[in-house]
Amino acid sequence: MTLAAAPKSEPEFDPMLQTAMRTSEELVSLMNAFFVRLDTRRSGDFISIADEINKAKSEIRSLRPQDISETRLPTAGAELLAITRDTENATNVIMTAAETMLGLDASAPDVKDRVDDEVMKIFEACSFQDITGQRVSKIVQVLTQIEQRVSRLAEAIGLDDASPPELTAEEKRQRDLLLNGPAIGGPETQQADIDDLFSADATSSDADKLNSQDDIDALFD
Amino acid sequence: MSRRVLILEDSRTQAIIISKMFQRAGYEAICVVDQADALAQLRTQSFGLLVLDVFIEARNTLDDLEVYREMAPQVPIAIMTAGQIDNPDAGATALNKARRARVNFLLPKPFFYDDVKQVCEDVDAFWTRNGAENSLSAAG
Repeated sequence: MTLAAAPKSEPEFDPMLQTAMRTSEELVSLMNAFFVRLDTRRSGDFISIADEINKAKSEIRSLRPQDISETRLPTAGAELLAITRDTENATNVIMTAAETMLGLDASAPDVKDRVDDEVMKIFEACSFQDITGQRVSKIVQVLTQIEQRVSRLAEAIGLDDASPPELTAEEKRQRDLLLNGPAIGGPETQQADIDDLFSADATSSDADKLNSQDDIDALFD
Repeated sequence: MSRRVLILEDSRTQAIIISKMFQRAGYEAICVVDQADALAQLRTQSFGLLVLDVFIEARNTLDDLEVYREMAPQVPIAIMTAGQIDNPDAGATALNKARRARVNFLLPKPFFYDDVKQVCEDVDAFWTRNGAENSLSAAG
């Protein structure tokens, strides 16, 4: 005996439920297309951001920050120290020679020879200029390399200079009174003008006015 | 012989310093800043000593020693150099090369008046000896 297979029958749903299901399916289909478009756009944005990050990383890598901090800057620093040492030594020799000449007896028979000896010491002391020139060139070279790398990085990641920070009261005073040392091409007060202020008229009435820091500051305004 | 020294030095300050030292030692100092000027001077007057800096702009004077020897036969040559700060071996290399080329004097920078004075004394002795030999060979 064979058993006849039971006939398959579609489940009976409420027609309203079937309509709701069809509507839902159409809605899901519509939303799916929307989400696919949304994902694609966001995905593109994220890819673009990732590209920018990779580009920035690559530029930072080409900046070779470790080379700058471990090699270039210490080398430039060592050269600056050597310049300071050499100029200091030369200055001492020159001042000593000048002092010796000031102390010579002008009526002594060998005064010319002794002056010549001291002048020659001054010339010898100036020999440091040869190596110092090379040292300064090396420092300028390091600064130029760093400047080029930083400019390339700023350009690559689209950075503009921020507006300069507001000066503090002390910084303003230093700027206004030119207390930051000599600037190339001025506008510092000329040495001759300063010399005039402190020259022979120290006993004059003008000099008597130099009583306070404000009076002295006013000279440099 | 002439107590005149030709100084090839491209740093004006160094040229002044070196020429003052030779002047004090009793020499007339003529300073030039490149090889063209040096050769022009050698064509117009005689010198008792040539003092040549090694690194002049992009050139190495040691490569041109034969030119100087042809222009100023028998004239003693002193080679001076401070080396190159980017190449710490350059100074020693140059001085060894100069010695192998049998230049008469080596003056590593910085040098002092006493060094110049000694070179001048040796140059005077050289010309005294050389002049005597020339006289003997002329007499022979």
